[in-house]
Amino acid sequence: MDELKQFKQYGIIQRFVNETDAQFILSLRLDDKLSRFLSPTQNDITVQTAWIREYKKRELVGTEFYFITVDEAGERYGVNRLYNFDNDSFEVGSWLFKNGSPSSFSILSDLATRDYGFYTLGFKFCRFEVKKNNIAVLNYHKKFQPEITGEDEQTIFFRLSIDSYEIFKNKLLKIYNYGVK
Amino acid sequence: MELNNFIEKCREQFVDADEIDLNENTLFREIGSYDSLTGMSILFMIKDEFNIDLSEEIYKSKKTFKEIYDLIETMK
Repeated sequence: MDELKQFKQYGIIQRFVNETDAQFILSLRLDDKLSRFLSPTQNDITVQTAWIREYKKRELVGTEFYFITVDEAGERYGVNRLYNFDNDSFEVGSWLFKNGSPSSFSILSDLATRDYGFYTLGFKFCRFEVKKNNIAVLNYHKKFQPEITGEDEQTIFFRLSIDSYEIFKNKLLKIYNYGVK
Repeated sequence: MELNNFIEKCREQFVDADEIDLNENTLFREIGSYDSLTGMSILFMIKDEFNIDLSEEIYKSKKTFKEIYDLIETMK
């Protein structure tokens, strides 16, 4: 990541979130459809801005990376986040894309974000949790054949190795006409 | 696979499969629950069932399941 703090991959631009993105992120988190599986969000731009201000401190020391996906014109489409790093793994979450985004953007952004965790940060495993009733996202993640590490009444916890990730990633990239043919 | 079976396989890719009614002329992207993950699931169903790699670019140009089915038939 250069001084511009953004990179282009799979036809999308990923850049670090900043305070000017607060309203956009709040609009995602308050969207009726998108927020069904989120913890409640306070409808307060000052709270969201303050959260990002604190996040930027974590970004600076390399313990968390919050990406926003934009196009060449700078239009914002969605977000993804890497956090809770441990010795060999990172957690991925906060995956939200606005309605009407180009159909491939959310998936390509997920791949670009996890690529960052695996290849740029050098982790060997990716951790994530999915609500059991979030069927579309659950079905998507299961296609990578992750290991289930635990579950509670509402949530399943997963861990995915880089090897398993790459197998399904390459299938996805073939469909979206990137990389492996 | 006959058209009706294909439509049923497509229906199964929707998160609210039990609540929607599809036919060959349904404009499936207009169904409320349809999103990019549904599209991805349909593309992988086609790969699994027909061993055909349908690119998203071509998939996007098709509006109904009948159009997709007809395309697959020409690709076999």
